[in-house]
Amino acid sequence: MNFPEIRCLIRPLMCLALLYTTGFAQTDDGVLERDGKRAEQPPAESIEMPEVSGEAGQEMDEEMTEHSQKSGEAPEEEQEELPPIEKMPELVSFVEADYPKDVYSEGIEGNVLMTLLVSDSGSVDSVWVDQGVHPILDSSAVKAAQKFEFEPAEASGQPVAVYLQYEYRFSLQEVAQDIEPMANFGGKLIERGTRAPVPDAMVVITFLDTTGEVAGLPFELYRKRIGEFEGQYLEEDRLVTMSDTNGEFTFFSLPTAEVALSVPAAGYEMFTDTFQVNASEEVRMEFYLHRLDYSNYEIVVYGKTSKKEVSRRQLSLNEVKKIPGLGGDAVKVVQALPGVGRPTMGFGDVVVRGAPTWDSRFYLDGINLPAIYHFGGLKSVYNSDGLEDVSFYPGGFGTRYGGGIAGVIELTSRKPKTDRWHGSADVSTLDASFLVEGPVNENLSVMGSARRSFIGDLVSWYVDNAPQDLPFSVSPFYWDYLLKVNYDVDENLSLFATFLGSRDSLNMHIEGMQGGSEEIDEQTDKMGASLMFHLAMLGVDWKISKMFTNTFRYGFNYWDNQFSVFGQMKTKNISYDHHLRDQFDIHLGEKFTVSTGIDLYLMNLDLQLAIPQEGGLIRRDTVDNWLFGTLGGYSFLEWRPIKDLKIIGGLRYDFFPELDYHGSYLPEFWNYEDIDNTTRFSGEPSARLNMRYSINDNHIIKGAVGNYSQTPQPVGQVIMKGWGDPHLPATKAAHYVLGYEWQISDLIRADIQGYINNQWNIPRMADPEDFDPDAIDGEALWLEDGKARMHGVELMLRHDQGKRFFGWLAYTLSRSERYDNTEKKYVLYGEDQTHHLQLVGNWRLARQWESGFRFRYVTGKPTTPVIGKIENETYSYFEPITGEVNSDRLDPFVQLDLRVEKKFVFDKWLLSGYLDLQNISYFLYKSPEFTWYDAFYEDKTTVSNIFQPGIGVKAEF
Amino acid sequence: MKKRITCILLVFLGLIGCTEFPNSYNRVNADMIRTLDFMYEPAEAVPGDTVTMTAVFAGRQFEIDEIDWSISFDVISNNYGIDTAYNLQPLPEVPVESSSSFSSNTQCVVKKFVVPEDVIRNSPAIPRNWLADIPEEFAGSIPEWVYSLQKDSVISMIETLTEKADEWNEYLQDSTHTEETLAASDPLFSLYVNRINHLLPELLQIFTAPMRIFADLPGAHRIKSDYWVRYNRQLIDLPGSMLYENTNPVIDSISVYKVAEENLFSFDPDDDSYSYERIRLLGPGDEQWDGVPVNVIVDEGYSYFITCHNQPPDSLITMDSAIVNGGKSEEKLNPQWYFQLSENEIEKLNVTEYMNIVDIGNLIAALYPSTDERISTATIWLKLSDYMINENRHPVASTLKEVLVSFTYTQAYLDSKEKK
Repeated sequence: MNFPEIRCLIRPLMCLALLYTTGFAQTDDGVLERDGKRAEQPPAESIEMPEVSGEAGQEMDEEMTEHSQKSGEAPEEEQEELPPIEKMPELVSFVEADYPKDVYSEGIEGNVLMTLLVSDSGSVDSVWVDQGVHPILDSSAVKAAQKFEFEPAEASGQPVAVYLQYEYRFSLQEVAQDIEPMANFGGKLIERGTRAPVPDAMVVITFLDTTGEVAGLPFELYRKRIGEFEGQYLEEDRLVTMSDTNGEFTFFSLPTAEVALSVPAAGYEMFTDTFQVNASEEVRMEFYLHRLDYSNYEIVVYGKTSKKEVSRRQLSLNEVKKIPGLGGDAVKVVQALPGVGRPTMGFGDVVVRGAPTWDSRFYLDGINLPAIYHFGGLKSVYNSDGLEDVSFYPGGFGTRYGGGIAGVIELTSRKPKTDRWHGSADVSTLDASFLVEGPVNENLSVMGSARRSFIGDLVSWYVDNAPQDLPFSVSPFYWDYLLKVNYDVDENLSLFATFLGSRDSLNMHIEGMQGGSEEIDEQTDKMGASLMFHLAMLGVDWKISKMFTNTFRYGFNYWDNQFSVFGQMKTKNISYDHHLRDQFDIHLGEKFTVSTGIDLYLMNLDLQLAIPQEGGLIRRDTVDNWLFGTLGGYSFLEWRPIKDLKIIGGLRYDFFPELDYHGSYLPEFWNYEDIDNTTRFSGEPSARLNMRYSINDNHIIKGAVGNYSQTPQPVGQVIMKGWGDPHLPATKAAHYVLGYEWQISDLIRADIQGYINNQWNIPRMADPEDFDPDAIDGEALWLEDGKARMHGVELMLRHDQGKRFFGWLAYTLSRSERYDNTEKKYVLYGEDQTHHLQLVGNWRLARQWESGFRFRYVTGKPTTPVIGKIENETYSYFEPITGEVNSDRLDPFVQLDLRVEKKFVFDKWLLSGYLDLQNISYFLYKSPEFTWYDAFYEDKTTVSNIFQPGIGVKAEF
Repeated sequence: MKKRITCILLVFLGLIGCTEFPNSYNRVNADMIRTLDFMYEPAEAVPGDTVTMTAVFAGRQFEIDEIDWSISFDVISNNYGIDTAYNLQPLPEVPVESSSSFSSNTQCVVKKFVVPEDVIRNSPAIPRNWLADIPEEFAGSIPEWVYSLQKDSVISMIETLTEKADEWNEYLQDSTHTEETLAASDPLFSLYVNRINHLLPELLQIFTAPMRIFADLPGAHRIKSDYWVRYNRQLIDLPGSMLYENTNPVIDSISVYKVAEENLFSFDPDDDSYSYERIRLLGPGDEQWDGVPVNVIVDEGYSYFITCHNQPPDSLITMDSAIVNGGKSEEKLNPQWYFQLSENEIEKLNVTEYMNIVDIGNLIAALYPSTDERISTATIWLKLSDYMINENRHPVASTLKEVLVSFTYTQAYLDSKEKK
C-alpha cells in the first residue's frame, strides 16, 4: 500500500511539514529556523491537500517533499556534521483516528497539528500536539499517529531520524461521505383525468425543517451530501429530480422529515403537497397533475404531414371537435372548409366545389364507405374518437383515388391505445355512445365503440306530449358500431381488422291512413326508410425494407337499403361489395418514390323496385347479381428534382363493368368530339399531375391538373332499362388547380386556391323538348349530353392553436353552372353558392372552460321562379309553370352558432359538458332553406331552420 | 300518384304545423275559380266514340262561355311522368243540351266531342317498338310471334278481333256449338282462344292512347284533363274475355258519422267499437240537388267523419296479374272533398275557426266542425275518382256529388272550444 492509497483510504487531509531533526530549532511562534534564518512554515491552508488520489496525490507528495528540501537544513551547531537529507520519510502505514459520534454530532471538526519524531526505523517515537482542536480529538489523533509507520528518511545513504509536522484533520464532510444512496421516496406523475404519465417533469423537495441533524450530521451537510447522489441534485437548498418517460421519479436517502413536494411541470398546474418521509422505509405514491388545458389530449393532433396533394386540407381533430354546430363530430368539419357548399337543412350533402354529393367519394382507410353520415348529416357513421385523421381533397387529387369527379374524403382510423385500457361514454340530445380500447397483450390491441340515437325517443316524446293530439307517430333512429383489432407483428408489419356497421331508420305511421296497394307494401299506413351496412375490413401495413413498402386493404360490405311510401312504392337494394386495394411503394433515394397499386371495387347488387309510373302502373323491376364497380389500376411517381420542388405524376385506368359503351384510350381533358378516342372497353384512362414549389420557408406555390371519371349518376338508375339508358358513357371531368400558401407567422397561414372543374357526359333527364313523336323505342329518359362547369377561388386563413385561440376564415367565391338544353346556355346549378364565408373561433378560458363560435354567410341558393300554374283536373292538383331555371335566389343564409364547454377533471377520469347553440341568430334573422308553395302556387312561404340547442356530457376514463 | 304523395306530405306538414297558408285545397273560396270535376261519359272511349264531358266549377263566378277549349290526341309521357301534348286543336263543337244536378253555387258546362277512329294507331304514346319501355317480366311473358309484330300489326289484329266479337257470340249462342267447334272452324278464333285471349288485358294497356283536353279559364289559369281511348269495350264481349270496361264511380250515399269519442283521427265503423250515429246527407236515389240542408248537431265529446258509399269496383284484373303470380289489385276510389262556407258567416272569423275536412287517403275523412257557431251551413262536394294502382294508362273515371249541411252547436261544445 503506497502513501497516496493510504491517503485515499483514510481521507483526512494531512498537513505535512517535514523537519530534519538536527539543525532546526523551533521558534516561539512555531517557525522553524536554521542558521538563524527563518524557515517559513507554509500556512496550513496552503498545504491542504484536496481530495485527490493517484497521480494528483503523488504530485502533492513531491511538492511537499521539495518544500521540505528547501527548508530542511540542519541546525546551525551541527551544520558541519549533518549530511543533507537525501530521502524524506514516507508514510507506509496509516491509522485512522477515532472520530467519535458524540464529538462530530456536536459539529466539532478541525485540524490537529502535531510534530512527529520519526525514527530511523520508521516508527513514530514521539508525538507533540502543536495545535489542538478538542481534547478528545487531540488525543485520538496522537494515538493514531503513534501507530503510523514510515520508511525512514535517509542522509548519506543512511536512515536518519527526523521531525515531521503532521496535521490530522477531523472533517464532518468526510463523515458524510459514508452515506450511501438508498431509494426511500418516489412515485409516478400522472396526468389527472387521462392518467397519462408525465415525463421529464421536475420534482422538487423542500425540507420544512433544516435545523436538526441527520445521522449525527448537521442537516445542511446531510442535504448537501444526498444532493450529490446520481439522479438528484440540490438547487437553492431544494432537492430536485426528474421524472422518466413513464412519469416515474425516485429520491434517495431522504432523511426522516416533513417535506414539501412540488412539481412545476410545464403545461400543468403546480403540484404542491407535504409529506412525512421516513428514512428507513421506501414509499412510492401516485401524484396527479392537473393539466392547464385539457383541450389537446383527446386524439393525436395532426402532424404537418408532407402534403402530396395540392388541395389536401387537414385540421387538428381536437380543433374541429370544438367547432360549434358540428356536434363534436370531426368528420363534419369538411362542411366548414372552403370549397364545400352549405347543405340544405336536413340533408347530409357534401357539395364539393358546386358538385352534387354523388360526385365525391368517401373512404375509410382506403376502402369505400357506403355512407359517411347518419340522417341528413347529423353525425358521421364512424365515431370521431376512433379517428387518426380526416383528409379532404376538394379536387385535383392524385391517381390513388378513382370513380369520383369532384372530391374525396378519407377517414383514417387510428390504432387502439396500448398504454392501458381507456374508455369513454358520451350522451347528448342526439345520441349516446361509448368507446373502449386498450392492449390485450404486447402486440394485440382492441378498440370498440357503439352509438345509438335518441332522436326517435325525443320525437315520440314530443308527439305524445304535444299540446294537440297528433294522428301519427314517427320513429327515427340510427346506430353504429365499430370494432378494430390491431396486431403489430413487429415494428415493420402491422395487421388490423375493422368491423363497422351502421343503420339509419325512419318510420312514420299515420293513423287510419290507407295508402296504395297491399301488394306493394302490406303496411299502407306507413312510410319507412332504412339504410344499413356492415363493413368488414382487413389491412396490412408492411414495411418490407427501407426501399419497399406495401399497403393492403380488403373490405367486404353488406348493405341493405329499403324505402317504402304508404304502399305506393317500395324499393329494396341489397348489395355485397368487395373492395381490394393494394399499393406498393418503392423508395428510390431521396428524389424518387414510385407507387403502383390496384383499386378494385365491385358491387353485386340485388334490386327490387316497385315504383309507380304516371298512368297508374306500378313498375316492378327485379335485378339480381347486377355488377357495378370501379376496377382501377394506378401508378404515380413522386419526384423531387430539387429540394424545394415536388412533382407527382400518375396514370390510372378505371373499368366500369356495369356500363356498355365505348370508352376512351386517351385521357380526356375535354370532350374530344373531333377525334376518334374510343375503344371497345367501357373504361376511362386518367392522367394527373401535382406540383408544389417552396419559394422559401414561408411561400409555396402549387398546381394540379388531372382528368377523372365515374359511373353515371344516380348510380344504376340512369342505366337501368326502363328507367335509363343502358348505353350511357362514364361521366368525365377535368380539374385545374393553382394555389399559393403563405406562412404569415408562426401561427397564421393562408392558403388560396383557384380551380376549374369541367364535367361532361353527365346524365341529363329528358324533358319534353327531347321527346320525339316518331321515336321508335319510346321516349328518352336520360341523355348523355349534360355538361357542367365550375370555377372559383378559395381562401383559408387560419390561426393555429395558440395559447388561447384557434380559428379560421374560410371564404369561397365560386360559380357552378349546368348547360340548359332548353335555353341552350349555361345556367346556375342548384348548388351554386357565390359567396360562402365561414368564421370559426374558439377560445380556451380559465378553469377548463372553452367557448367558440361559427358564423356563416352564404349566398342564397338558386331557385327557379314559378311564373304560372296549370291545373291537373284528372288528379286534382296544380302544377307550377316555371321560369328560367335557377334564375332567382333565396335570401342569403346567415347563421351564428355558439358553443360552451367545461371540463371537470378528476384523478382518474374526465367529465366534460357542452352546450351547443345552433342557429342562435334565428331570433334576429331567419335564413331561408327552401320555399314552399300553397296548393295553388299563389302563396308561398320560406322555411327556415329553427334554433337548435344541444347539450351533452362525456366521461372519459 | 305524385299528387297523392304530395297530399300525404301536406297533411303531415299541416299536422305538425309547418304550413301557414290561409287557403287550403279543399276549401272553395268565393274569390277563386275552382274546378270540381270533369266527368266523361263514357269514362273510357273506343275509337269513334262520341264523348260527353261535364265540367263543374265553383268559387268565383265567371263567363263560362269564355272558356277556351282545346284538345290534343298526341300526348307523350315517359316513365318518369314527364309529359307533353302536341298538336292542340280547338275542341270540336257538338251541340249538347245542358242539364245540371248541382246548386247555383256551381257552374257547369257540357261538351261533346268525337274520338277519331285512328287515334290509337296514330298516338305517339305507343312507339313503333311498342315493347321498348314495358317491364322485362311482362315482355318475357309475351310469345315471340307477338313480340315480333309491329305496332300497326298488333292494332290490326286487335281491330280484327273487335269485328269478330258479334259473329262469334252469335255462333256460340247456339247450344250445339262450343268454343272447340268454333276453334275448329275458325282459325282466328283458335288463335284468339289459345294464344291471344290471355294476353289481351295487358296488351290493351299498352295500346291505350291518352288524349288531353285543355280549358283556358278567362283571366285565370289553364286546366288540363286527361282521357283515354282503348279497345276494351269493343272486346269485352269476346268469348272468355278477361277484360273490363272502366265506368264512372257511382256514389250511393254521403253520410256523417257522429262518433262518441273525442279527438279521433280516423274511424272505421266495421272495425272500431265506438258507438256512432250515422247522419245521411245524401241517400240512394237522391240524384237531383234539392237544396235542403241536412242538419248535424255538433256536440261535446264526439268526433265527426264524412264518408260515401259507392257501388262495387269495375274490375280486379290488372297488368300486374301477369307479372306477379296470382297478384291482383282491385280498382280503388280516391275521394276529393271540397267545401264552401258562406261568405257572410266567415267574414269576421279566423281561418282556424272554420270547419275543415281532412282526407288521409281513406274514404272516411275527418270532419272538423267549426269552433264558432256563426258558421251554420256548408256546401260539400265529393269528387270520387278511381285508380288502379297496377294498371298502365288506367282511364281515370270520376263522379261528383253535392250536399248541403247545416250545423247546430250545443252549448257544451261551444264552451269546451272556448276553454281551449
